[in-house]
Amino acid sequence: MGEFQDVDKYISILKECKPLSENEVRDLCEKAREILSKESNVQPVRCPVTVCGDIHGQFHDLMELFKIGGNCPDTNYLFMGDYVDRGFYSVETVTLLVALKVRYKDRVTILRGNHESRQITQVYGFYDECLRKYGNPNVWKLFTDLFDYLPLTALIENQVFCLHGGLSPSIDTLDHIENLDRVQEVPHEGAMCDLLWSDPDDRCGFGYSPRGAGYTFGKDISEQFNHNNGLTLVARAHQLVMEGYNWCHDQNVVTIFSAPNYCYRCGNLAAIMEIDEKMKHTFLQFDPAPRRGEPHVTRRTPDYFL
Amino acid sequence: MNTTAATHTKVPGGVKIRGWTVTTNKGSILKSTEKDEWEHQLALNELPEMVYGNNFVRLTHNETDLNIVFNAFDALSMCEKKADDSIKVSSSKKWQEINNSFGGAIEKSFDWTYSTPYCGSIIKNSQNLTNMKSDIIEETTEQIDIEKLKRPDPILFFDDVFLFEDELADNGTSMLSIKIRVMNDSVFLLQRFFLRVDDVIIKSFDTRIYHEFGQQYLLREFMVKESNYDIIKPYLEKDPTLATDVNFIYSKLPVKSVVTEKIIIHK
Repeated sequence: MGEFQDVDKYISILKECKPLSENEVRDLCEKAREILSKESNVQPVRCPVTVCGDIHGQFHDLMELFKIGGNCPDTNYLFMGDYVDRGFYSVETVTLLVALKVRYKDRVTILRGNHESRQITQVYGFYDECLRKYGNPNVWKLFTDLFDYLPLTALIENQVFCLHGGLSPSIDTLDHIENLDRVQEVPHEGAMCDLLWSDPDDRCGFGYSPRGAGYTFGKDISEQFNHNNGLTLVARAHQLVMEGYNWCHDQNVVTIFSAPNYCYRCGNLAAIMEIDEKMKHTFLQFDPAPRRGEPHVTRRTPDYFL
Repeated sequence: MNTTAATHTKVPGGVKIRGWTVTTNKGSILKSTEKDEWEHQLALNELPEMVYGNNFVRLTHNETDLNIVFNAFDALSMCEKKADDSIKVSSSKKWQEINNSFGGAIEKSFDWTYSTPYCGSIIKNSQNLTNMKSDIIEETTEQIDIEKLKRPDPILFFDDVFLFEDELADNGTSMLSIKIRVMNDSVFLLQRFFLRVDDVIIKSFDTRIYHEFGQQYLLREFMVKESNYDIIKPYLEKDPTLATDVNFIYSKLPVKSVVTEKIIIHK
């Protein structure tokens, strides 16, 4: 029982939306690294499990998610990345998810999203929040070092393949993913980058973005990938969808987004996907949690803009 | 002297004041099916990630039925259908090499920066004059009186409305938003298109509409600001979080061009 005494204490602090001390974060990250470093690039997961998409620091909505989906460890969870940035509580959100992983390592799976990176978090909010809440970047450093160990993908009962972004032209089989050296900053290009960044598209084949970077993958690619690897479905996150989830590619791919009213103004629903012990899936949609201390976009103070 | 009491009345979503009705609407982003329809109607290969399709700002001159409206559909209809190949994200060179080495993927062209020159839709007698030369619009040397706008006159109505946003796959931001305020003597609106492509370029298109109640015209100013990234790089090296501070970046941008026009009310 004594083994989890500290972590249980951390979890109860975090559930109040209070950050841990720097030393507690250091202790937690050490424990988490121990566990994550033993996980595979394609981490096997058993059903039943509830699959979740982007959270983006919306702590109160994560609490709502647990209310809708069931508490940990009563429900097993698989999170597909993007815990930090954009929202106001990235620190509390990612610390809680890591603590739950440490406490219930066989019941909680946390994958890496494209925001679990040093570079992206410096621009989109997590770095800034760590500075504000701790007065120095040490906690940001502890977490971004830990992010390097997060598994890239997960495989539920050898049937449902889960990852943050999508497929890559340099990956045909799950074995290719197993062979990647993942313990590094998310690179700007290559297979590991694609898995965390790419998007499905209605055009066939691999598409190349006019931005000059990033792939899209077509229905033919998804069908072939699922067929080659004996899969029934690719579940991914990464894109905002108004309904919280969105099927595409003749139900070969589903996008799941779990941050309701994204950026506190989009008005979108969030969703999670429950997979039961018979591998049957059900989507649960939910609205934002009642707000505490977050800005109301509808009530902005007038300003003398010019 | 107190003239406020009689000059304005509240209406749903806005205010009626001295012959004008000013209203705004704010809702959710488009549903997936609506997004598909818009893509088809606009012949755009891809819409911004967040399109506030039901949002608008509308100024109506009640007597003449002159409407000045700002909405996402009209704004997006003015985006280029093909990508501007002179702008690529910072990592594109390396990407190009890799893409060529594996045989190459097909490029889907669209203006992924959504740089719309939209400066509002002008609708008179149910005719949308947005993309037409119209005799109610003429160039002028008159300027919007910024000093008057700096006075802390009571604001009778204020709103802040988003039309679209895209995070450029985390390579920056493209957004179109509007602020409006109505005072006793005037109405003032600022629509800002803001683009930041990290390590590459920053651009803004500002449309300002100013009307002093009682005058026979509105002033519309269209200002373009643009710079490469070097202008803010030294600041970002000290504080990387400034990259998302639109007001800060905007304050550093040089003006590229300004055009001011009159929109004549009675014609």
